[in-house]
Amino acid sequence: MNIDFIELWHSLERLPLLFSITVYLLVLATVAAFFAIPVVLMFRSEPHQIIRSFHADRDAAKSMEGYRSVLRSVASCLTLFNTVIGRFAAWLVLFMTLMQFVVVIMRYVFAYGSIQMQESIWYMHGLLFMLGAGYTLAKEGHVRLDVFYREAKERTKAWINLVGSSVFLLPFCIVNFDFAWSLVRNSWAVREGSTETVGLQYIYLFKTVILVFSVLLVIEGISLAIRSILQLTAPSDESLRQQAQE
Amino acid sequence: MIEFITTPEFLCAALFVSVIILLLFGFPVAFSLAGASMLFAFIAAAFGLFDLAYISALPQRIFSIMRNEVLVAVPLFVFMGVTLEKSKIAEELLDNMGKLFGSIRGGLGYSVCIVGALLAASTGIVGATVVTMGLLSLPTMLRRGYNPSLACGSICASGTLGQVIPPSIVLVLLGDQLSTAFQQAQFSMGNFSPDALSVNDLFAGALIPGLVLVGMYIIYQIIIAITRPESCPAIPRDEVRTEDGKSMLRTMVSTLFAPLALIVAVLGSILAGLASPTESAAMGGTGALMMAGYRVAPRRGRLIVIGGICLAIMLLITVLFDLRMQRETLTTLEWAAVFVALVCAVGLVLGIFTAILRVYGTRDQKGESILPQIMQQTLIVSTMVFVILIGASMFSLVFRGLNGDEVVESVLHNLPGGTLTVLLLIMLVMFLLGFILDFLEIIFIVVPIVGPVLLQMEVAPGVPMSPVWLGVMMAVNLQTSFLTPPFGFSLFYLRGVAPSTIQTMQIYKGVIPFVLIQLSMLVVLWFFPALATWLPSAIYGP
Repeated sequence: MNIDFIELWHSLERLPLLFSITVYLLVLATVAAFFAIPVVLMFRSEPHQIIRSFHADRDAAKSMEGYRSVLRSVASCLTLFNTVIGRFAAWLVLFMTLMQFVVVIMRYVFAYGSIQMQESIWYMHGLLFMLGAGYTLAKEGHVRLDVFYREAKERTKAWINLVGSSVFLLPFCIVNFDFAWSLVRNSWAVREGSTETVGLQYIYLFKTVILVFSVLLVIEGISLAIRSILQLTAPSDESLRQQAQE
Repeated sequence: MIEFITTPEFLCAALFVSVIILLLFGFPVAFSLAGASMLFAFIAAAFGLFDLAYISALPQRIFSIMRNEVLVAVPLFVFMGVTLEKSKIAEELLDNMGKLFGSIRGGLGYSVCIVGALLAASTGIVGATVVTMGLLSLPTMLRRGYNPSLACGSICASGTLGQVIPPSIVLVLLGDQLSTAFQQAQFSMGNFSPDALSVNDLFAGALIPGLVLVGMYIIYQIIIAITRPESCPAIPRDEVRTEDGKSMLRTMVSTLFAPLALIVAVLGSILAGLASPTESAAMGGTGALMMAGYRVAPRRGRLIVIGGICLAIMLLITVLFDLRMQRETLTTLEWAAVFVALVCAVGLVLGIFTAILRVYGTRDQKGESILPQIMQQTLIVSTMVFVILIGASMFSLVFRGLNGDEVVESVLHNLPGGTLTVLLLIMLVMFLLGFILDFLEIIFIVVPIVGPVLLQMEVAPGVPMSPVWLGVMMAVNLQTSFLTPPFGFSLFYLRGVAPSTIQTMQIYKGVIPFVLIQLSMLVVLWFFPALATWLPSAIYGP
């Protein structure tokens, strides 16, 4: 069997495109499904039920609730993924501090320097915030200008998050992934190493983290969008009361 | 009309204004900045007004943030600050400082100023510091019968002051941005072997103005204590002296002296030129960890104390002997010194590990270990900072792609009145931006745009503008902006944590004298730039 490696290598160029298409499809599917379900329910129910809000309809509300719970678990799975990564990445803080401490002591007391140790600190520094980006978003750690946001209603906040993540965050990640792809690919092609001969020779792996950063943010961005949709479509108090009465 | 819209001037203004408006909706700043400028670039590119090759440099920018040696100091300083906070050392420091000064009239106010100046430095987020100080000391001050206005004013002012006093991460980031701007300025003036601006210079430059500000805050409070004694009563002496003198002294030494020594050591080693900010941040972080380990279990902290002593001995030996091991011959004495140093190193390692174990073993009220919390908090704060930097890089790439730097340069050069007008204009813009943006965003957005132009100007004929001076001016200016009613950042944050008995007007009234102090500081800095530039040149040479 002959595999044309060069052809395979070139076909990798299409990966960012595939990535962006997948992300768009995921977002579109989530949004579309949400607006489609009520329509489907409308066609299946009796005319007098259509007139009433679909939230008030018990069956519809039930199937909505089933659908919502699926989405909710998808969102929490995505966030869980980032939380696990963030918790692991947080240990880099400690290792980084200790490593830098050791480097300082060795340099000032024993006049001994190690380029590899010094570079490993840069690696940890870079990994720390590139891997932590999604986790920070999940923990609401990215600052907002909350002059208006703080006073806004929950529904408005959900709209801002939905629009923001689909208009700002996801396109930014996709474009960044796309641009970073050629940088990373070239770096892998030559197995780029340190500028120092005795340094750590893993710059190509280090650069790959830029792609991972985009992916983690996309994951958390989708989770944020889903959570906002859930909030926006949450049955109102009134319809819940009606359900209880029936 | 079309011609007007397609001018670079209009496009740059449109980019700036639309990004700011989109930021105001409240989606996280980093992503709004990145996403909005990117969309703007794509729209402009669709009309043939922008070359997308400019923003394809973004991953390279991200990579340079990832391996920037100066920026490594940020997570380390944050780690130090969060450790001091989570292990309640900061809280105790404030408490004991209050006890120390409490029996003097206005004493609580002084201790808030001093602690704020020392400890607020390591977070870099105005809100966080003011919230912490507000939660810790506002209730005490009110209970002791302080005038609410005075209490709120001093807390707001001291909470923001930490940003200006080294070692603060804001100064690290400002120094990093300014040094790039300074190099660009010198390149375009035809100097191809430019002087470097280091973070050390900025730390040294900000020290005296910062201390003067603390001094003026305290003097103002002393004046108030004399003219209106009822507004800041002293704590009765017998309430303070609950313990006997000796045990009181011991608490003072362990809780007051140790953190102060840590901060003075960190700052001192930077200012003395012994260590880079990154190196002293690592020392500070490890030191804070050891202190936290001792603080959470003082009775079992013998190994940690031994570790600290070992460190001191090692440093002493380093001063006295030549310990370089890669040499041909060592005298017997030197071998002995090397041996002692190695033994001390083992002791130090043991001490640090004990400290880590102790901190790991400590649980908060919810029963969770505090070490992961410290690390996660550090991760969140540093990520927040750097992702904003990434977003701002996108903004500045787009801005540059629209020929924004040339626009800014020509606009600023054509202003009547020379350097003073330009500087006043930029300071005013930054001041107004300070109402809606935090320190970080302003530094990352404004400094790359105006820095290179400003630093080419002359303050007086033949005297180029000093980057250190400019940095200090910017920092003090922004700090003033965060204090100014009705939009100042820190006022909002204090409002959020202050009890509802305090009226918003009281906060505004209390903070106005501090704003005046700040403004007079800016004027003084304009007329006496030496206040900022003397110390760096005295330490590191011109």
